Amino acid sequence: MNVNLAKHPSRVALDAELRRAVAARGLTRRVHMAKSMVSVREAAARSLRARFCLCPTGDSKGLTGRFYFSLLHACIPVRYDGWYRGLNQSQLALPFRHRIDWDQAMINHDPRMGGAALLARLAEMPDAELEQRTAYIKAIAPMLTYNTTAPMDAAALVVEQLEFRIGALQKAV
Amino acid sequence: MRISSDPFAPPSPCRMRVFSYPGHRALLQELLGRWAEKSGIGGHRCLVRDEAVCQQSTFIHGNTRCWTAELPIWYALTTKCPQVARPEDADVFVVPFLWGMATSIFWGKYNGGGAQSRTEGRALIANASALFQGLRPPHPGTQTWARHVFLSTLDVEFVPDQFAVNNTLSRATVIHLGDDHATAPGLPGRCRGKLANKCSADKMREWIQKHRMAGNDLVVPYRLTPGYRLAFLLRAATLRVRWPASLHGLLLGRGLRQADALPRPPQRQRTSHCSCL
Repeated sequence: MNVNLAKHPSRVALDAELRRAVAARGLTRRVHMAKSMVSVREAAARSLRARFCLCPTGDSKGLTGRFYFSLLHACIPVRYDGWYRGLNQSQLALPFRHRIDWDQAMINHDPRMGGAALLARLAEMPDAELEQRTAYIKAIAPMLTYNTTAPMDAAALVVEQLEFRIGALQKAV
Repeated sequence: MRISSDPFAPPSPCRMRVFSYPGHRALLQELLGRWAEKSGIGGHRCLVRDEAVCQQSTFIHGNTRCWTAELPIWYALTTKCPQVARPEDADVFVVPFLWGMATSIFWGKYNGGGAQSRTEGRALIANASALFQGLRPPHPGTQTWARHVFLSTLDVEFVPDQFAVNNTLSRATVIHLGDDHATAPGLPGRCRGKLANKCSADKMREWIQKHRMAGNDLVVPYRLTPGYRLAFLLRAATLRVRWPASLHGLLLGRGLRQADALPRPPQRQRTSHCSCL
């Protein structure tokens, strides 16, 4: 967990819950709990090393840049909605649903279940599922970058999605 | 939405005929030219791409800040799709004004360029209503307005409130960064959008919900790569540049292999965090 706690009070609560749960499970060496934001380079190195990257909502209710940053580093993003809106996967505004199975690419944790339940869920995830999710993330990562020289980057998928939408509109007329 | 049968297949070539309003296009080109010149990053291309010749250290926040995804999208729309000169021939009308970029590119001072230029973005946004007045679709019906595309790769709460209050514009397609809410913590019932005039939180919220339900918005990822350095390691793998030797083992562990040796790009000063975290 590498976040600015000041962005939202729910982050402070989550941080405290997780610290307790991590200590109780004896996982202090396996869970990084930053006291403050680390540098980009360190964040990148830690994300590459990590299986899961916690992505709590902040002052924005949606997704933060951290969510995409985690995906690009093959670290499974764990969304934690500190605004307690109770949104399921299909209600979230996520890009490229025609291409990406977001159920595979991320974990959307219900914050009402608390930090301890979250830690248990992640710690007990079977290795096979972990491998499968990580492989999937690596496969979709190029779709989430803006690289105009690549055949299938985010910008190209926007064009594709727009073309679908315009086509549907024209058929409807 | 159903996932396509082959989600990893490259997209088909674009056949959608694109019209972009000439007056806006000229304004955009002028703005890009000015931004490129003021920043000293090495020309227009460096606003879209990150090449070895681009000087990225001139900005505190980098030229490809997380809110500037619309520039590569605009670039893709105007290079991958057929362009038409007459609006009557168009499938889609792109309004080339970069809300996110105008908002954020000059946040913070830049080196060597003199004074801070944040006000430029603010002034642009404040005068943006002129853009809406300049739109002249050939058949100004609902369907035609729905084929107007606005690039506003900001959190949806920062989308200009003209979209919420104008009956025709509210049907347009808006490309933004996704789910958000028109209020801020500690400001219940008040609009957070500093860029919008007299914006009403309730009206914005209602508009966002309607817009989403009608499928009139396209959600895109934050712009983190290639120019912005947050994801530079993945970029190293996909764009075939070197990564730091100290991280070699980690990358291999993730199945990311170093491409064959390529000339190492010049070292540049790393910019600060993206504020969108």
